[in-house]
Amino acid sequence: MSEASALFQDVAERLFADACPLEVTAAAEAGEFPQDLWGALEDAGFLSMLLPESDGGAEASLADAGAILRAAGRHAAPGPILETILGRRLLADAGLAAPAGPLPIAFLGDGAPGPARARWGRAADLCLIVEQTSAGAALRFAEVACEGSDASFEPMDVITTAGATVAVAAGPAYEQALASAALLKSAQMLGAMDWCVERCLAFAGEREQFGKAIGGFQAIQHHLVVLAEESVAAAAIVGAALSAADDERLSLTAVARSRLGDAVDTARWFAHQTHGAIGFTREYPLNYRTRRLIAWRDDFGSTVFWRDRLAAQLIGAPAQDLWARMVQA
Amino acid sequence: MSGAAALRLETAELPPQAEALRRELRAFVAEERAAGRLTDPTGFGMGFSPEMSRRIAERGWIAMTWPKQWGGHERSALERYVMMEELLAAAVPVGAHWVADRQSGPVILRFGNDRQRAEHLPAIARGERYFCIGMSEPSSGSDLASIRSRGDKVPGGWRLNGHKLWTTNAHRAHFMISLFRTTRGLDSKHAGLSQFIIPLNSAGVTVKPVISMAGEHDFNEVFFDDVFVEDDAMVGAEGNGWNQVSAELAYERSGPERWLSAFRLLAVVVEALGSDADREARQEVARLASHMLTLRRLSISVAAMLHAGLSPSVPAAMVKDLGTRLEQETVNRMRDLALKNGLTAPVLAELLQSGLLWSPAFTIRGGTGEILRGVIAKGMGLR
Ligand SMILES: Cc1cc2nc3c(=O)[nH]c(=O)nc-3n(C[C@H](O)[C@H](O)[C@H](O)COP(=O)(O)OP(=O)(O)OC[C@H]3O[C@@H](n4cnc5c(N)ncnc54)[C@H](O)[C@@H]3O)c2cc1C
Repeated sequence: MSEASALFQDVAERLFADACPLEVTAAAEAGEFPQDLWGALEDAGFLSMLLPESDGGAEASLADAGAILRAAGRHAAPGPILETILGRRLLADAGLAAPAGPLPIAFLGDGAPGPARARWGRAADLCLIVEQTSAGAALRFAEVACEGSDASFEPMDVITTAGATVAVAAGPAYEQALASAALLKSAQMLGAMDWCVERCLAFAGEREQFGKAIGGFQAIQHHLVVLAEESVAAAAIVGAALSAADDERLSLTAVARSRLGDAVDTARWFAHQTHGAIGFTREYPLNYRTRRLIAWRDDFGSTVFWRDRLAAQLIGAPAQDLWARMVQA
Repeated sequence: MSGAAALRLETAELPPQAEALRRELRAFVAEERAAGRLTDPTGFGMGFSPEMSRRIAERGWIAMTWPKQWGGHERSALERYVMMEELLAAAVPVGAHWVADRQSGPVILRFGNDRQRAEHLPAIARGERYFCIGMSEPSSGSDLASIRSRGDKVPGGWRLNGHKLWTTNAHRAHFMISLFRTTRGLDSKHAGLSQFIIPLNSAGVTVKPVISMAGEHDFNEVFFDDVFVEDDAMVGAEGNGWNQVSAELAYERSGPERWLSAFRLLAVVVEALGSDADREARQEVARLASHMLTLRRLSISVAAMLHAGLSPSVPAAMVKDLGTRLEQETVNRMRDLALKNGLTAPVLAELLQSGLLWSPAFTIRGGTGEILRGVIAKGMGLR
């Protein structure tokens, strides 16, 4: 990780530790927008971090934003944080000013990565639509109907009427925006997995059965090792994709989301198995991470969606060429 | 480092000279293929070809990171990593020199004296001298420190007696670096162990084949009956053997060997599937490819950490544990894909059968999965 990213992560870690105790997440799941947390993120400049300095941003890299979102995921921070960071940048790239406040996002059009829904659509008057058209990535604003949620228990609102196109970015803009969203979501998932590893390690030292800490049982040690392996493997490929050059990032995103899908499934199982029944309660904080891992795994393209993308690069290769195609990915 | 801190891993980029080297390696592979000296493998065993090893040495691709003084090429661990992945992905038969380059040479370089370095390293670097690993014994596998083979001090040298087992390539290597107990009756079983460089043509050494369930002769049992070796055959300090084999095993575990053997099978299946592969096949191929490419990033990070002078034993053990399980899974998934799609490519059936027959060994050799997870658990502060 670059020094800048490490610095962002440190500052973000302290901000979330302070402004995002579990009650904030729980209240958000009950429908309350996390106003104070939002103010703190805005004050710290995180929400505009990807903008040029001339627009009041920090000209931060995607990897820097990933560092913030990893901390956000660790703390199960609610609200359209990722969406606002990315949306402001997309609008700035199109020469448009972003509306103040939260900026939910949805990707629409042929080959869209999922249903026409926006996380926390209700947090703003309008949400930003990124649509693949023959001319390029069309940006529009849309209204939402406040209905629906997912395993995160946070709102996942339905896009209703989309307004006129406000800008069109030609070239690979749509793909790049989607890859950025998918990777930032990956960073958020890594954060939730980090928390699971740390909590499970601590729990294995605290919980005693048969007269000793369960971390003393070899079976539990192996569970924790597999959990850690999945988190380290996922971090390696997501880290590589976040810091890759633009053209390399597209295919590395497909690799990362494919691998992360399995990492998340495995990590959830091992984290819960290590905890026993207490981990299955609403009260114990584990579920706030594992429910988000369930939900986020499908955000900005499911594992299946990204595997289709990756397969398109590999299928049809003669045996002697597959290696070169994979290493390019 | 302990606890979650042991899990921190740096993202590493391959330097530009590594990409230049990749082009040279691919050109070499293409030449070898064109000249008919490189044929597609039909099995999972590592090919053994002294001729190929010498041609690879001529290009400077053995002893890449060693000092020039000892025949090395003073290149970086990341360049060496690229050499490994390109040669293994193309299934170049590198088995003759692989162990000497990967671990025996580095042990001599790090723990040996200048006479030993001068004697062995340039010959290894020329692709002419091959080594095998004498660690396991009939009663000592995972519990390596319990070995019984013993070395007794005699004037001018040591007398070795004992029995090594599962010694890959003992029948075609020139030397073995082997672990013996040189002091008995100590409190700790890890103390009193020493490593020796033993010429396999020494009087009293008997090598007998052990045929694997794949029907192949790769490993052996090796008997030592009053074998005399000179004082200078001991590598490193007397009694330092445990530290040295630990370092040696870290060299053995961090490479891309494991998941790349399964890659070849994937490549053959992808070719046989052709362009109109169905959704299920596409999903499976992408899934396994993403696992391999993720292990690749982990391997690169480990190489970068080695390059930075760190000893990343936890991530290295993770690469091997994840990689060997992936290797087994790939074989099973490819078998199903071949059946579902009626694939009948010429080498596929042979490669699949070889993969299935070799499969049990993947998670056993070089330290079992259980032992690797123990190493990782220790690094995480759980033990
Ligand atoms: C193809 C192949 C090539 C080999 N080449 C070489 C070579 O060149 N040189 C060499 O020295 N050796 C070689 N080996 C040997 C290899 O290193 C050993 O097989 C390995 O270390 C395991 O030892 P073992 O077979 O005696 O199994 P054991 O140690 O008897 O283990 C049996 C089972 O018990 C488990 N077990 C043991 N201890 C523990 C524990 N503490 N906790 C949990 N589970 C445990 C193991 O994980 C395994 O599942 C090779 C092996 C193979 C298969």
